[in-house]
Amino acid sequence: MKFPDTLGFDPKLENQLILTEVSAVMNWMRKNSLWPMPMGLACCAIELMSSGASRFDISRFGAEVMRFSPRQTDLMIVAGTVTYKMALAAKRLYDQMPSPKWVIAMGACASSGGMYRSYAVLQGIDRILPVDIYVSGCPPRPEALLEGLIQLQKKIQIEPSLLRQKKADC
Amino acid sequence: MNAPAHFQWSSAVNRCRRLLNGGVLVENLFHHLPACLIASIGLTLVVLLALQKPSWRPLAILPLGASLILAWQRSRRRFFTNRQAAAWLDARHALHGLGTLAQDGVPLSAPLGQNLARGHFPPRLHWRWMKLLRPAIAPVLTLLVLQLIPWKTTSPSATRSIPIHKQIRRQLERIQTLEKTGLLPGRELDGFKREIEDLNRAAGAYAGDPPTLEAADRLSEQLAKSESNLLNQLRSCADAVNSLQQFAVTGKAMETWQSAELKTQTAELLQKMKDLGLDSDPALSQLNNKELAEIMRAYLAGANAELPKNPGELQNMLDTMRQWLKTKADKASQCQLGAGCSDHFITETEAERQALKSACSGVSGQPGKGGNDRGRADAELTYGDETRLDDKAFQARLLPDGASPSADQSLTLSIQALPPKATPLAGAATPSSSAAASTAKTEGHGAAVLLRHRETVRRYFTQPTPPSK
Repeated sequence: MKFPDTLGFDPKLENQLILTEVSAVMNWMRKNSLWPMPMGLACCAIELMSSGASRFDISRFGAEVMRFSPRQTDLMIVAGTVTYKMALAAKRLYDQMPSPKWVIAMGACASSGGMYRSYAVLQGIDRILPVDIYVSGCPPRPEALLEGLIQLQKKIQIEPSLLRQKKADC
Repeated sequence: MNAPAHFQWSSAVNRCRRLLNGGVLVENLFHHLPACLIASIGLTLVVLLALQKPSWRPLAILPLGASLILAWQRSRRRFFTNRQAAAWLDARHALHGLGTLAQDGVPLSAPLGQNLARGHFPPRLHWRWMKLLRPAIAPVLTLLVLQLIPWKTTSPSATRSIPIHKQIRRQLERIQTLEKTGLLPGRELDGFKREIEDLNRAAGAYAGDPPTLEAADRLSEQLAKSESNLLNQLRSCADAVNSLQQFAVTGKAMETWQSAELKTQTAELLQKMKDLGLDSDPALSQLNNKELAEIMRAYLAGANAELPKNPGELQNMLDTMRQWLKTKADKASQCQLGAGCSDHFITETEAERQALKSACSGVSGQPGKGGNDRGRADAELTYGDETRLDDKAFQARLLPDGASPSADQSLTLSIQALPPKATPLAGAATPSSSAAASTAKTEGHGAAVLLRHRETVRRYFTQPTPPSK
């Protein structure tokens, strides 16, 4: 079993002690039990669906419980072109998600507007939401999304979760 | 004898002095610890601000300026004068005092002047501080490159959902305000109050669980929908009254007054006014217009409602209707439902009304007709305290030109009078025609393809032909 970097494990000790911090344990639980909300807005959503299917199987990383209610999720995957009209709804849904919460911008359109340099398209969802991971591609393959998910898990593991919670409470 | 006229001694000494003084300043900047520290902090700030807060970048000049002032204070006493610079040139270039003499205005003999003119000017300076400056080259270049990169806007900070108790309190306040103004019917308000009680019970038992939060969202949506419906009813009534008033003002088509279409319009108007609260005796008795009260009573009783045939009476009745609707719209404005919805009732002339209608055409359409301001169930998008929308993110702005091809770059192949007709491709032969297939293969080999694609094309055409079914 591979332990996270912040967990200390010494097999030489007789009682098999594990030394760790509370925040590390919390992060370990959080990162392996992400509940994504698929914010499918365009063709990237097809790849997102594919990620959840059996071939790529996002459940290997503990993020298969996709919910369409923001109240029950902690990860928003913005997949597709974000128009200004939809951006307001996306912002509202993000606000309704309970803390702690994370955002993945999937694809070029969600990250930077992509090829749609139009008056109607938001040039990147990070203008209104704090994005944690950007996944490149047009659209990205499911493997790319899974790689983004793994990167997010690494980020969650090392972040000071208690401080983040405290900051959010303020 | 004076020095030759073509030799500009004073400008050479001035330039040498400026270089020397610059060296002194930079040396002090990097050797004086406080100035060095402040300069380093300034450089770091510039980089950080360029990355995080581009709008604060001008503030980074403050520490840099402070370090420069400190260095200036320290090096002021060590600055070279022109005579010292001339002496430095003497020593550096072995002029044997000629430079100092020339600086002092002592006339030099011609051979000496020629020697001075053959001197190496401008002098090549080998400063100690050139070595010291080397580490600063990288950050300075980095800064320059940073200035050239178009940085994205920084992500906003994370928000937090509103606690359930606060949400319940807010919805309760909305309901109380609506109740105070009497805009919504009692049964609807009772339903909302029951929802609040259920929410309170659930919040006490399961504080902040997702289903409770979802129920609060649902109630908020219902309230927004009720408010939106109310506003739409008011707007629709106002439009109907306005259109009826056109008939009354112009006196047009009095003979068609009792047409079926007008009767339908009248019935719809009375129904909407009934929904808005004109369905009880106290409300009707408060009206100043007896005709309208009688018509409304007849409509409520199920009888056919007929408008008065006298234009004067009709005008009076419509004025009463407008007045009553305006009162309702004012109440709605007091509740901050749809700011400016009473504008429908302010305009008096037809021209003003049309201007307002054209100005608001994108904003206030009929319910169900759609529009760019319409969200779910025609409700306005409502936000809580948690949303701090950056207005700049939603501001319309002109984007730079893309790489769209212009018409000048296009090439006209042919102009035909008829629509183009599909012609079979030369290589698209039927599978049964082996001769044609072999021709296609030959043409495929002979086609102009890029070098790196040639192998792929060759492999494709050399594959065995699949058997035809």
